[in-house]
Amino acid sequence: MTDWAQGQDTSRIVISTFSPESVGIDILTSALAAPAVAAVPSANVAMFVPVIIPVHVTVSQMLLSIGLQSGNFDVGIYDDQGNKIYSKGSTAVSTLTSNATSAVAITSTMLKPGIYYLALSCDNTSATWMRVTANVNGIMGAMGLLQQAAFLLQSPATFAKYAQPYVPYIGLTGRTLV
Amino acid sequence: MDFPFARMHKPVLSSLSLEAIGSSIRVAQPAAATWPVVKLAIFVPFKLDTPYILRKLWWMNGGSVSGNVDCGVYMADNTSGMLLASAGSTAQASTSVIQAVTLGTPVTLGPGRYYMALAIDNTTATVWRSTPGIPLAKAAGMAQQTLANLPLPATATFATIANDCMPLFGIASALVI
Repeated sequence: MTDWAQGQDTSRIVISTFSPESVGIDILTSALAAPAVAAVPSANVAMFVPVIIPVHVTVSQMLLSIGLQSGNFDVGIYDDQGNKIYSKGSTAVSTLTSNATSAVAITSTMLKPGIYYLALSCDNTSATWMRVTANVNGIMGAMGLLQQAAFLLQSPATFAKYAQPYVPYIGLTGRTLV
Repeated sequence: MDFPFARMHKPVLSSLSLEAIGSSIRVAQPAAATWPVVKLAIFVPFKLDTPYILRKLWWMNGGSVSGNVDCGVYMADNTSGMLLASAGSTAQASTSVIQAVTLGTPVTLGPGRYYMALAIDNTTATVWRSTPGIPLAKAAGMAQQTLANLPLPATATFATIANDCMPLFGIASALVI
């Protein structure tokens, strides 16, 4: 007689920058405060957060969570060499719902197993985004985050050392969430 | 399709990562402090489930820098370990940022158990660290060795951890950190 039921699918339906596949565990073990909305520290600086994609998967939505609407954003996916796989392009933050998590439809994109970066940039410091912060920039660099001084996500990216005390929430899914 | 649990490793691993002991020592957010003992090496265990290309070794400097630092990776034998890669004795430089050393030749670490090691030759240098308490540090598998001098020795002799200092440092396969 088995104690543990077998054959159940325990796959995660959404992975995000706060997931174990990304820097979620590092956020917990660094004892960072719970997520809350805040403006990005610097406008026109693309933030890249590493994430592991474990199997071939087709993604169709990226998730973003905001407080206040203002200006424009760009969101996208890069491989670990800095090659851009997908970006939404400049999009009004007003297309996202205030004080809520919104699904951003993206072109269905098949990702192979590997290391990727989820990227977000914003052209102003008035819009507020769900994020985790720290008391020193270096802690985020220690999690593997990278940046580039640019609003529109570049192809390829030119990665630079991360200098923001800010891990934005960016989600990824192949489902249509309710 | 959904996302099953991943066994790959991210481009930057630290002493606080799941692969190391972060989940074992849940403590307050790291902060900068002076190195506790002259020429002390601190060892933090970590494991790899898949091959990992080691390109950089790094540590997080505090608000003042002094003397020399060495950072390395050891095989995790029982009470001693063989040095697999190290930065070499390196002048501590640049305050309040990550200082990283690129290996001349990347080293491929296979699946297995290892120690990451950090040593500093003075007690004026500051690094970011957590203070889990000595009992919890020991329970998590940390160890130490007082060195005659830097650099890190080819063979480490692990002694019981006796300093409440879990530095924020680690390894990277990334080209930029």
